[in-house]
Amino acid sequence: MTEQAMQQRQTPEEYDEEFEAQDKGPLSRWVSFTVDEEIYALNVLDVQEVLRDAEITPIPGAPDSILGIINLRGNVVTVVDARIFFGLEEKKHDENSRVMVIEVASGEIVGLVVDSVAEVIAFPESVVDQAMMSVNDDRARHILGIVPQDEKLIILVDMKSLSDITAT
Amino acid sequence: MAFEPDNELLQDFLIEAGELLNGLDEQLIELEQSPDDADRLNSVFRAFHTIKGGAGFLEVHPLVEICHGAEDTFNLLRNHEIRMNSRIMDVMLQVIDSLNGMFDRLRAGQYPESVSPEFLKEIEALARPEAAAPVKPKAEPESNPVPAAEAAVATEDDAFDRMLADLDAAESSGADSVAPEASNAADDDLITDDEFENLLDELHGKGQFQAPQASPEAEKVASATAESDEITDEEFEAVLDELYGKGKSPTADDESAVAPASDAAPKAAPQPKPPSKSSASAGSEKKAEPAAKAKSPEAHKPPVETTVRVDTERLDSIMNLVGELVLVRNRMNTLKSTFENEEISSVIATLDMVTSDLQGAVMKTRMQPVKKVFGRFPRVVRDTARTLGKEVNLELEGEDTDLDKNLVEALADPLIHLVRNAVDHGIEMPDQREQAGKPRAGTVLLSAAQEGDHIRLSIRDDGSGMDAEVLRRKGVDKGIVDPDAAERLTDQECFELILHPGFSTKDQISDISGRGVGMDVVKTAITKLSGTISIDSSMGEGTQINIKVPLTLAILPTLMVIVSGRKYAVALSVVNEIFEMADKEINVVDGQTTITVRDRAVPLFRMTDWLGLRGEPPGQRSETDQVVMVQHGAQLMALVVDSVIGQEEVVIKPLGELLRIVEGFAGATITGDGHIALILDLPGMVRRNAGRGHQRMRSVA
Repeated sequence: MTEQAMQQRQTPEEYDEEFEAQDKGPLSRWVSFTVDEEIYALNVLDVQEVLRDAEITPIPGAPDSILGIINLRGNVVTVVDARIFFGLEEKKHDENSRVMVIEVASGEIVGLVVDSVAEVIAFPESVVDQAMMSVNDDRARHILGIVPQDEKLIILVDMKSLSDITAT
Repeated sequence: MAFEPDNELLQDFLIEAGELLNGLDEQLIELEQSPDDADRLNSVFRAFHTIKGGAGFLEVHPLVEICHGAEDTFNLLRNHEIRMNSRIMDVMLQVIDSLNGMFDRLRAGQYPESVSPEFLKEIEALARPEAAAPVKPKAEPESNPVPAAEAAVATEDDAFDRMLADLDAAESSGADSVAPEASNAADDDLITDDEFENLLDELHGKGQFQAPQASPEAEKVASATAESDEITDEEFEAVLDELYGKGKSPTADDESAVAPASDAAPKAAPQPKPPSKSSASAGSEKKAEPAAKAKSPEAHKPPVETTVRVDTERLDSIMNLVGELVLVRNRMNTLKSTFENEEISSVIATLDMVTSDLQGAVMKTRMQPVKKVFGRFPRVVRDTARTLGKEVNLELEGEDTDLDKNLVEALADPLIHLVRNAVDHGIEMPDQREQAGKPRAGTVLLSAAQEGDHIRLSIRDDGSGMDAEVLRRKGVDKGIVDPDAAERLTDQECFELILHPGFSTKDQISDISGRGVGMDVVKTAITKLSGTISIDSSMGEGTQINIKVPLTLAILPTLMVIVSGRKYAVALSVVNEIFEMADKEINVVDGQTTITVRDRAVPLFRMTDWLGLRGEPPGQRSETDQVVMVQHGAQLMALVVDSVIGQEEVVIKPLGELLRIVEGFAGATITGDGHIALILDLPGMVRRNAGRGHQRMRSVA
């Protein structure tokens, strides 16, 4: 029980009222997170929950990008390190680190360890549509587009293909 | 009243008709033994008829065509107009195969293809020769949209609708108005006419429609026929529901609507009376009356339905939840000692007990008799024996032994393989057997029995047996064992060489009566089920293969060990013994560390090395190290762990797709204290470490 009590669940509903008021047409909501100073965002619909603290059991012999498995209320969930996934240097997890629980294309639930989870941001759908770009570069295929926000750039990512990437 | 064959109906049909189809195989083989068994002929006939009816509802014409032909043949057979012979049997078995093929396509969501017209003709030809006089050739149901009676086995929506319309008409104006029409069809199709009349009788007799003609007498007849044909009232009510669009199970409908009718057909057939108030009812009434008297109490008080069909997925999820509960229970038990409160302790004890009972009860719901697998074997044996020109009797024992549904399915293929091998390589040719002073026909005995928390399956043949010496030589030739190691092999170990992957090649089959064909596949399958396989054979007397599998796969008894501070679970079924490392002699032989246990050198592996964790160099012992001796196939291995915690029953949670490339783990589990423990998969671990040159079969001895 103790472990579960520590798991923090953030639901997008909390943010609804705030954005409903702004009346900018249909909004699409994204969960922003940071990895190595960069801000990324995942569609809220892809994010099931965010865990503050999870005990990761390493799997001997697994690829480097896979940190191990966690016990998510009785289900065993594989946890992937976003840093290694994005081709960045490994970094020790600190108190800001979070596990984002997402569903990938195969239907599998996967945990993604990120440096921190910031907030849920809403863009009008038109902004997102404009940002969408077709990328031919294989390394960047999980990048959907880039949206400027408060003098920063937010990289919209798609983690659906996570399983193909780590498996190879 | 539209009748749309939606997906759910199709699924129901596939399940129920699929069961009938499975049964048909076995029944046909039994018919070959006793061709005049009237009950069996009838039930085969009904099965075909039911499948045809259901297929008709769903407008699967290829199925209807083929069943129709088979049904005609069996109609003649059961009326003793023709006799069962091997030609009919061969064609019928082909029919079953085609049906199975069509079912597979239907299951895959495709419309099945028709069988070739030649094959259809062949089937129809069976029914022709002696059939000329009493029975006119029948038109295909779907090509003949005329009689209302046809609709009883409706193949077209409109035909079915018409039947419904007729029924509605009958409801308002009584049977009289429909009976003539139905009887007109008599010339056209002997069976379906009577069926239809009978159906009408039943519908009216049941009184469910509040038809004014539903006299008490008719009701008695209806329920009596239903009873005597072993159709229960619920099934019958399902028909009614179905007709009125309430029910969901089309096959239940067909079965009950059609089966009694078809049985009544022969009785009614000899009296081609002018259209009167249902001659069939009059005919069957006489026959049925005694039965009605005898059975009237039950007939009027329908038994309560006692079974429910449950999706296996739902069962699986219940099983998972119970698994969770067991884990919570385990955690509670661990925590119990921290509370020094008697009340809490007693509550936990109760929880413990209830959970155990619940676990057992849920497990029971997943149990299926092994008959489900065994049912296929008469056919397998027959076909194999026929192809080879051998004579083989198959005996089955303990068919009612229950085991977990998943196991029943998983065991099917390995067992088929073994039985086929027994016939192919075990049993000798009839002449050969005679020379050896054995009966011409060989016997294969397939038996199942529960032994504690295990099921033992054995396949025994009285064939020529295997020659340990030949196997030993082959093993050396194939490089599976070293010559000197081979010398030390016991006979049994020699037999088990055939389970080795490298052993199976073509030439063994002709050289010796070995069973080299894919035995390693069987072995792998059984190992996957945490089972074991052993072989015993004696020259000239036969071979026995024993398989032991756990009753269920859902919960795995394991031994919990600690390696580098983390918990790992090892399946208890492979653990032979546990001992302290300190007081044993350790040598390095040919680069391989071994530990001597009771004068036997066993290869020693450090789990830390195996897992790729940092540890002390091999051979260096720590006072507290413990050794778990495990059995990997025929080979013993000693694994060094930091410490042994004890036995724990765990629920296996599969690792995610991302981890499928990682070998050596069968899954993970959540332990009593809420942590995760990885479950070791010994064969996978061995493969994973095979590159290091640790693994050679040389230490079989």
